[in-house]
Amino acid sequence: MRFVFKTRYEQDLQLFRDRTEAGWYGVLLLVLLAAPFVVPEYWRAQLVFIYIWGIVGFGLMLLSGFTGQISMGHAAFLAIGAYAETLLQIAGWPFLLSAPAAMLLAAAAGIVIGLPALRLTGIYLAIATLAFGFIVEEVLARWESLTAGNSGLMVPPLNLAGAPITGSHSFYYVCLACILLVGVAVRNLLRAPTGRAFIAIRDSEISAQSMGVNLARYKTLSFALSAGITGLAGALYAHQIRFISPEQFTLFLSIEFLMMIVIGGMGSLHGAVFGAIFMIVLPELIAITKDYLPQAIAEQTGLKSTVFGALMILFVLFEPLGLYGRWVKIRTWFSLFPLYKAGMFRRQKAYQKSERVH
Amino acid sequence: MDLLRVEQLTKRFGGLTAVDDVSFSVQEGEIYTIIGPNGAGKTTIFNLVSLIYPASAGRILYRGEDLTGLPPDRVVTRGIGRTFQNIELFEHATVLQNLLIGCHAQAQSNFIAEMLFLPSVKRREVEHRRRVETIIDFLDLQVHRDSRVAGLPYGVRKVVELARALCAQPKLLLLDEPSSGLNVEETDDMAYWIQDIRDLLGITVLMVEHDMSLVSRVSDRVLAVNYGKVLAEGSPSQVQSHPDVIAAYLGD
Amino acid sequence: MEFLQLAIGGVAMGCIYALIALGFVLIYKATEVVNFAQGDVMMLGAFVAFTFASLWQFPFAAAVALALIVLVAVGALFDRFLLRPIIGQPTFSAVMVTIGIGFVARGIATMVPGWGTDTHALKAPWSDGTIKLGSLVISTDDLAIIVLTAALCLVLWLFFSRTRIGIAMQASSQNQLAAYYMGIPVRRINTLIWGLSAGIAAFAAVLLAPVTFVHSNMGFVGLKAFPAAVVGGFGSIPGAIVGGLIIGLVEAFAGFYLPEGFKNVAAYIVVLIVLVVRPSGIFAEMRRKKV
Repeated sequence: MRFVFKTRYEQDLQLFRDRTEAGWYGVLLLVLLAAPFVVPEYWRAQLVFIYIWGIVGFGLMLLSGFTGQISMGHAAFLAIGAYAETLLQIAGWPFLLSAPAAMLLAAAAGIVIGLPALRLTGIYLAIATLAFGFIVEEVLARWESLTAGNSGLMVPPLNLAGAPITGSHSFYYVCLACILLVGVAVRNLLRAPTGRAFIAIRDSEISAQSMGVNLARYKTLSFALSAGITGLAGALYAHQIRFISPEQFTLFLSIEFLMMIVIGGMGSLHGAVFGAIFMIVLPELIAITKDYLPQAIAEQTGLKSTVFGALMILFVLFEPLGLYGRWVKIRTWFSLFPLYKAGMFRRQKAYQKSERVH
Repeated sequence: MDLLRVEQLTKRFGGLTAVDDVSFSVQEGEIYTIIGPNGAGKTTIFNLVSLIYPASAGRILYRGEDLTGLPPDRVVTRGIGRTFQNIELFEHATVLQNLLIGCHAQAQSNFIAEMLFLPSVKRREVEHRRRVETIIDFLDLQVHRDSRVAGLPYGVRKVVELARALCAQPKLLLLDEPSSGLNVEETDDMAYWIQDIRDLLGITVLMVEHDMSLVSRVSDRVLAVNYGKVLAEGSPSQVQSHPDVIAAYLGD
Repeated sequence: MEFLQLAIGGVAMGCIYALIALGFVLIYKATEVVNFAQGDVMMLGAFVAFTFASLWQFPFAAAVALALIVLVAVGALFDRFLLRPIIGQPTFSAVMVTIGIGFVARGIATMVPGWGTDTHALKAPWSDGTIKLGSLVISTDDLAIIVLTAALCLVLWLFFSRTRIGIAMQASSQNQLAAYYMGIPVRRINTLIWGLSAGIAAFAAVLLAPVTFVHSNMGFVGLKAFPAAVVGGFGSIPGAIVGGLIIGLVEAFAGFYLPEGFKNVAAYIVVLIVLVVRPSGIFAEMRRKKV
């Protein structure tokens, strides 16, 4: 069991708690760097998806987990990023220009929905974002001159800085670099005044205002950043999947994103990554266990839906801290062995104050 | 000098006049308390001064400047801090994070610099941390520094609420019922702290309070209100022996 | 004339939206939880009615009655076992549970033998007819929907204002603490409200099934009911009905007068416009958090 003895305030501010933690993350990084050479093609593709969904998770966690603005239309930002990237790459722009452009476009869309959303809370905000998602999907389908509508677009191979890159390894490293950059940027934001302002808005808007937090500015900023980050994921998604069409970006994808961050663990960046891993690994697990299930159940198309839904319910009921919370508990159990106390992580129930006056 | 002057302040909620033509002024360096029975409009007066509600009529002058029309998030930059009657802390954050948010008014936050965590950002963070630690020492919150607010007992939360308001370095501090829900010991501590806030930190205090012993002990001047109207103003003993005030509390 | 024709179709669809929105609003008023599974509960109602009426050959009225009873029970069970344990947690958690319920409902519906992913027909005794009023041609399905919805609203109004349980439900929805003090068993009332909502959804299902047929994705209609509930103001029962009618009418007219594609998103455009102008919906009371 390790105890970190702090002597300077800077130690509270640094990225890693101490050298050991930094060491573990370093090992993880080495493993991930080496992965393309060691791991079969299929699993490398899955890792890339984990990175892409992880970036979405960071974006959505920033907006919904940390600022408390529930978004049920996040697939729209993914779509905008994907389409922007595809169209710009078709026009010959290199990734180093097209990706930031896609991010900015998605961020602008975030502001478009964020501004009216300033006065909305709770269910009204959720429905507004839901409506936004539907409208974007329909616009992409109807604006055929730009997006080829429902026939979809073929995505050219990734053109990084002038010429198309060859080899799927390169794309893997681009995605890894992106998720690392986004992760560090968001982490930095959260240990700085802006991140704290977001948390303040989530927990008590009136109080936040009394502390000088301009609600409009920070809510809009949160929407814009979240949308921009998701737009980057969209750009990467387009290249990974090679073909985009409006029906890939439905409400169900938005809901899957929400499930991802809830199951991963709301309120922590690690949760976003764990959620992404879960989303990619789960279908694999279902596929594997199909062999052991009776024919009647295994064949069903409804199996994935049922399993997702059931896990969602089980996590909310029994593990509200999500996968990351469970991981922390297990890790603590090992590090404190045999002194782990059962009630260690039992959080005081913070009863939700009613949104209504009485 | 008049730090705060309230002139003919009125607030109507539909047909209900919660605050009716209230005028008073708070001198720099004093502790000024507003008392009155429940529902008298005291917290509404606070909410008007901190601009959470817009006034229906009247003016609020802070250091000579008319605050009318100022958005609520600009109030703290003028130097007015407040606590809330029903504690409005950030439940899912730690005490330290709550206090650091209190410093937000002084942070010119630039999200791009923060994403890159430039040295200037780091320097300012450390500076704010130092300031917060001073307040933590002042109010003896060291033990709770890293605890999540949701798990803390009520008395501690009241102190954290006070600490957070102090972190914004206000010149005028609005305390809404600082001793409600506190036991005798905690109220005692609170009384010392309020006096220290005035004497050591040089902050003017405007307070709403029910506990008469606390009021007599710390206040320089008292204002009694009922049904949104002023009943009496003066020193604690003058107001408490005023016939209108006694009638309001005990009934006719 | 076309205008009236469209209007009637719009009102009929609007009634379905209104019924589903009513289900949302009842639950929301009582527990501040938004039941994202309401559409899927309706789907279950349709399948159960189908099972009784077509698969097991019960007479129509009996099948409907049984479906209502079964769904009331199912709704109550959902509340008792899945939502009661998380009372006090942020409403977002409850919403995620209801989303999970929706997924499970859809998944299981495709796995039940006899249901599956096929589309089934469920005709009511009044289906497939038309009534002529001058030059207006009204399908009996639409007429039935409008008339029966109005009848149900009347019944519910009487229930809420005249019966003890109805009044208890109102009390519990307005002020839970006071309801507790008056001896109202609030949690049991909430379970009943869930049951009632599910029953209303089943009723809507039976009205809708002749028009859209019964299939496991039938619940997507529920997605349009959200804008309906929001437009009317989420805490308002008359609001839900008015909202539903507005959305139904807007869709009908958009489908005819506006270019292709607008019909799909008409509801969502309307809800965004309404929310920009009145952030809490048309009938919502202006509320303010007391600090």
